[in-house]
Amino acid sequence: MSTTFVVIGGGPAGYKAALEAARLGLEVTLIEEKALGGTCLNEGCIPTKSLLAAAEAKHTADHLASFGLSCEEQDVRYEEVLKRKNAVVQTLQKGIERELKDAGVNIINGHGRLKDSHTVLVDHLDGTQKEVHADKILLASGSKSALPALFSFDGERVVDSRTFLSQATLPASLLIIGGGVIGCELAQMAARLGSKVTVVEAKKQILPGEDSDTAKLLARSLKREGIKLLTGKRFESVEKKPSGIQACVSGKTIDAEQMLVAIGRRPLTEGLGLDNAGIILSPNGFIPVNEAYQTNLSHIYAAGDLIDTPMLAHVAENEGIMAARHAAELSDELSYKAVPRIVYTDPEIAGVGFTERKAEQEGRTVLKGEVQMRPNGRAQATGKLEGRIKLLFDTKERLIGASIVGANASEMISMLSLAVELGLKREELARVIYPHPSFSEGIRNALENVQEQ
Amino acid sequence: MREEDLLYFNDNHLWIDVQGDEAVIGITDYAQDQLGEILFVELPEEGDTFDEGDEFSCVESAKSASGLDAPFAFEVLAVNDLLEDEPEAVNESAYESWIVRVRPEDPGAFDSLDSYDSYQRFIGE
Repeated sequence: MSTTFVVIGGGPAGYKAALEAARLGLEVTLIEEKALGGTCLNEGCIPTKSLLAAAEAKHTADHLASFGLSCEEQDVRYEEVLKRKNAVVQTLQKGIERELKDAGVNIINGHGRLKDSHTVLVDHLDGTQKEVHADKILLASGSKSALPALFSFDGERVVDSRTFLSQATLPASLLIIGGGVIGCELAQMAARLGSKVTVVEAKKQILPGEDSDTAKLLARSLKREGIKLLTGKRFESVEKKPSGIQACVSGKTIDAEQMLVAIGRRPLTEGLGLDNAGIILSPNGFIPVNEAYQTNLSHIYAAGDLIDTPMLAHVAENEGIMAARHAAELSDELSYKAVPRIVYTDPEIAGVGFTERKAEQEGRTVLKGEVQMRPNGRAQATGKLEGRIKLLFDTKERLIGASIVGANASEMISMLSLAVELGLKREELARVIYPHPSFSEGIRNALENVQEQ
Repeated sequence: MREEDLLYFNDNHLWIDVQGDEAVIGITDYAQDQLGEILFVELPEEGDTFDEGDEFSCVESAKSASGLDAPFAFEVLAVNDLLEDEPEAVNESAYESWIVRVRPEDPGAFDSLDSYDSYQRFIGE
């Protein structure tokens, strides 16, 4: 008899783990309460990127004159925009389902929780229950938006990103609390599709995890599109009004039709039955795991947003795969040295490895090569002039970090992730032939002016 | 005409013309020369307030886009609208082509600025 491996949660960590485990010969059951693909596919990354694509199309239509073209003004039919988004999500959902079925994974629709350390209890939507025995278990239930009571969420005038992405209309005016990745992406999406947007960020800059020069470049573009950015300002309170909300931010009142709170996400551990199996939680709410993603019970694994690693779909996928491999008695270790970080705004922001700030905090001497995107031929030809490439090297000229602002940054970063992961040197990166004309030529130009900081 | 040696400067290549408790700000001749032909000057709005280090304007040339950071916290009293149509005026006369007129939050804000001589030394002239 082969080992039974039960996965709770069909998001990036869970479904990749299920596929890998099935490929390695385990008998796999995947339990998902809602839709396959998790937050990323259904309520996060993919919906946002679909809506941003519509927003970019609208933005291009609004600026056709810059290409010597003209066209009558384009109306936004948001219900059609949403339909397209939903179609994209469904196509990808079906793809995952097909992949899992082809691999022989048994998919159960319902809420999975631990009854004891070897039994998973599934509550089906129709009220019936089922018990599944498991030799090994992966917990991958993901995360949910942090919803502190201070914000008085009501799912209508005060919402989280999940509600915002599925509501039928966009508000005429929108106040976003939180200038991180989600806040910035949704700000630009809403603004381009017609909302008057204000973003409040408590830290001194938007995108607090990135260097201040990176944040400034995005701030410049967002402001130019009419988005109001209030950084270093604190949300204090909100009152519901007939026409929307009135918020108090660092002593000043702001009126808007709707308030979107995007201040971060929390691991979703409630309802998993952790106590029934004796799984320990850390004080910060995450499930502690070792390098093989084992919890305090060696046959129960946890991966993705449940554990204290970057809350990113591509991190979760790889963690799920590693957990599955370990469950199949293979050993492998995931490197977190070169995790790409992307913000899908226009201009896009992509980073990997060290930021300058982090290098400074660690007292590391870095060499920096930096160029603006503006002189680049492709940038001029496409009119996508905003941005810059910044490369950070250690004193042996090995690439330890990179930050790209500009068109196609999310695609260009892969090459630099590879270089950071492999510890490639400046001269090695300079030996590569870069296509012309392309944004990536900027990487070569940045390599040519590397200086000690 | 502004007399360069009576202005204040900082190492972000801004000149600051202190006029009582107000100040007029632009970019230096050295800065315009480094940028090359200026194509666009982004202007803030009257009444906008900025903290020290906040970007209040952006000067774009064919080869570069340079954000201008507030040398001290201030409120914008006026902006030079002429630059919207004629950004190249900054190339022609950097010290006449002011960008913003401001009121500093802290009246002592000018104390930390540089003199003309020390700015000249900073740019190595």
